[in-house]
Amino acid sequence: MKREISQFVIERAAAGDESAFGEIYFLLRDSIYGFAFRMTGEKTSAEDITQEVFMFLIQNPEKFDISRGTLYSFLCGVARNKIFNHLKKKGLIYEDPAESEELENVANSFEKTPLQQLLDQEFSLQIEQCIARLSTLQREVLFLREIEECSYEEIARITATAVGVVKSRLFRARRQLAQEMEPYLKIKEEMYL
Amino acid sequence: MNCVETQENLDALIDGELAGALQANAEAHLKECPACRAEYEKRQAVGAYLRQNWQISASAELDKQVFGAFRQFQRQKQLVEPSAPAQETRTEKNAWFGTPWLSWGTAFAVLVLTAFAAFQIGKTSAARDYAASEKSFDRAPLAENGAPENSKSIETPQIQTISVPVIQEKIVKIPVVREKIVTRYVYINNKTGGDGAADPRSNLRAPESSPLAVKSQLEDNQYSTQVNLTGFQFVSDLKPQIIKSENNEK
Repeated sequence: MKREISQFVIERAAAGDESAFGEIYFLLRDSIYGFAFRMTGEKTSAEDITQEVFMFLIQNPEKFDISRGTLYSFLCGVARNKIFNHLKKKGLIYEDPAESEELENVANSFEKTPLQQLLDQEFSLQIEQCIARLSTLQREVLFLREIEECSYEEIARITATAVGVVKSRLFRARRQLAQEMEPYLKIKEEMYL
Repeated sequence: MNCVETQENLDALIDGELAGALQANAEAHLKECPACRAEYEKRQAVGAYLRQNWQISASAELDKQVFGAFRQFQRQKQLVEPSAPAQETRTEKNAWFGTPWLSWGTAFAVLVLTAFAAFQIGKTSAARDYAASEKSFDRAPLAENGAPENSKSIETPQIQTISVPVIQEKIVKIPVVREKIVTRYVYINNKTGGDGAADPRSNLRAPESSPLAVKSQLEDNQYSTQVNLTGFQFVSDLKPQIIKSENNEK
């Protein structure tokens, strides 16, 4: 997925050029918003976080160092901090028992998108329940890999962890989902045959 | 590659993060092992579902919200920094015809002019220093050790730092070999010189019996010597001599 932004455009946006800012915003808006929405499960929170992320860039352009990574991974890192602060405040952090002994309750607060309303409500709800049972960190790497198509190295940079940890979380997330989703995916397949 | 190793590398294979021999071995095993192949297909299905259902776009309302916040921040910035002009919308390919090009051109012109001015100042200063030192040693009688009488050591000029808007320049004086041209004028005492004819044996030092008033003074870091030549007649000037010395002037 191409998300290249030149240093010149970033500098122009930081200097107040609205068209340069628009170029950055429209290229990365859906990535940041989707990340925030899939992690928080709330449209309003996701919108607030998205706005905060882009304003952080404009107000603190000196914090972005192009030698350390792309603007996309920088903004994802900023978004991640805000997402986790939000989840902590609401007590919605769920940690994988394999990674931590603490286990918190998961609030099933995922909102449905308009697309999901068109699908069979029972199946989509069941599958979303499966996803909700993943740990927060597993959900995070799943989104960055499946939707944002980030490499393992880029995911490691965004999540401030090692590539091995990324692989481990992805492995457990997919295995768990594959086991839980299998019956529903089979039934759905038969429905559309 | 066995089932355990294949299962460990399944995600990397799905995500294109496996390469070379590992990829070939994993793919070969999948062809032979139905269990691993089933697991591989299940994980692919998970990814396919997520890609189909997890894509989401932000609303137009969010766009208004974000751009509103951007414009408000710029307005507040203008209030705090009124001297900074509002930035014009400019695409990258027009940058050469906009402010950045003019700034670079102006900076370069200032740099050239400053360097030229500094060179001229340095040249004049060096010439003045040389002239001053020339005066201080030109007519001063020499003492027995070769140093000028009543001479005082001339202080080395201080390193001068000039601050300019674009660059900072330092004028540093470095030791050089001094080359001095000494011109000796021969005067003959009218009283002892006979009919006024030139006496080539005469030299600068007047006979002890003749009064020769020499007055040397140091003023404004410049040495000057006045010699009372009353009663002396100029005869000729000798061939110039070049005296070279790194430290002691002779």
